[in-house]
Amino acid sequence: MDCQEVHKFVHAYLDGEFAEEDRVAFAAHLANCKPCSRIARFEERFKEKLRASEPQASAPARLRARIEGVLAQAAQQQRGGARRRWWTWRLVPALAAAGVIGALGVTLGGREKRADPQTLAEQSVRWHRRQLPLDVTDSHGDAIRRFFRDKVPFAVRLPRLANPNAKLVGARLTQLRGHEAVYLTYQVGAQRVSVFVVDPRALSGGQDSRIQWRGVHGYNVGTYVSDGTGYAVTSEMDRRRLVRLISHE
Amino acid sequence: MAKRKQDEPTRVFEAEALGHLDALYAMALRLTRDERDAEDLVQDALVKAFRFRSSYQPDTNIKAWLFKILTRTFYNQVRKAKNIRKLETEAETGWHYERFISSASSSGLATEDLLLDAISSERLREAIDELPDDFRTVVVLCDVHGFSYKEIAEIVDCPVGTVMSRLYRSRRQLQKKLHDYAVERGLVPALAPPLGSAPEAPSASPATDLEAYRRQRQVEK
Repeated sequence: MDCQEVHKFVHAYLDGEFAEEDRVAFAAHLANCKPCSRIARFEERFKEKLRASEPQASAPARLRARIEGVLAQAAQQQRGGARRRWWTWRLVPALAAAGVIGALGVTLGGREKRADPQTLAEQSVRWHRRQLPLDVTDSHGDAIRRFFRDKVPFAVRLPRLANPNAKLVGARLTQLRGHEAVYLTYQVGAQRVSVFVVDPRALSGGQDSRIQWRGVHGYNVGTYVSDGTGYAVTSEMDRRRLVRLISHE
Repeated sequence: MAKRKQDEPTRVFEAEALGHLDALYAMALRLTRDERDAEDLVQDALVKAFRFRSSYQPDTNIKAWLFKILTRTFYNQVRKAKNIRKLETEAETGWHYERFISSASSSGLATEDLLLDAISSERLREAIDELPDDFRTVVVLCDVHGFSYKEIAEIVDCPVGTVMSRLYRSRRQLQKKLHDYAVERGLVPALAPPLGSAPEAPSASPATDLEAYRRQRQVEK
């Protein structure tokens, strides 16, 4: 492999687009070639700078309120009778002409394939999205712990969250990868955060206290072990904010 | 306006979509470069998403699906308003970052590190905003929102090869712009051309095919 090839594909390598075998070979070249490794390091730092340059723009509250109102209206229209129906359907040709409808039918496969058995991250995201009814609604950790004391074979230690506005909404008994787990749901501002408290053996990282991250279907899942308890944290919140929320060291 | 009572599927959809609102708004801001326009764009996109929510395939990436609607809505509006940004002519010749990287500055620090340290986030954001729409879109989708090439190709409706090419060229363009800016302000030393070098050749053409890389390796085996 010559350096010219490496220069061409360094972006694809850093963007994580290589299959394992190719990635390893590329990394091996970098390890043995100082000029190429300098280029890779520069591009990597540049990429990180690009990511960090993005301001933490939160959607303004008024936008959230507008969306809720507008969606409620749209729902109303769709539920409406024949009299209103023609109004909605009139949009269809316009949107088709705009190329939106045809496009929307396309499946976005992305990197996630449905693998059997599902990974822990995929299961966490599934449970997070389903928003199933809770077994217990209480914002006090003690009440939650007491509730589950005889129901799971481990102590339900709540995660230490850095944000004082993180509100515990409630919990539910569930399972992850065959292990019994407690699903806690938090409201952090306008976003939901699910925390699965589970036997550390359910996690693939062993007793690693460092957080392991995965992206699944646009959600972030962080898993780690703390004080002998395993946690899987899932949210649509961006990774940076999520890291801040659960970093307790 | 009083909140109307919603049925369950609507509530679930709304909760999911609103969970991604911050990311959608951030993307809309980069696309429109205006706060009010960004809000309108997000609203238009989410209404469309709601109306055609049955076209969303379960267990696929809903964030990418929402981003696709947002991006398409933006480009449709841009086309309608005839507000097409003139493509900046790319000054690709002369930007040889390989040469730039192989030089050493007098302070002993690598020149590329000086450059990276000298550029502020604000300046970088400005440079990104100055990129043509389709360059800016792929850079933000890749480096800020972490979508894969395949997902980006779906979102902007072009082949993966085009995504790779646009990413390569837009990053190079940013680097050159920032380098020139830094040299102008004396933040990094200007580079003298290597002695006895040939006239500037156009920089290497971008890779557009990951398969080519794999095939090349097979050949070498």
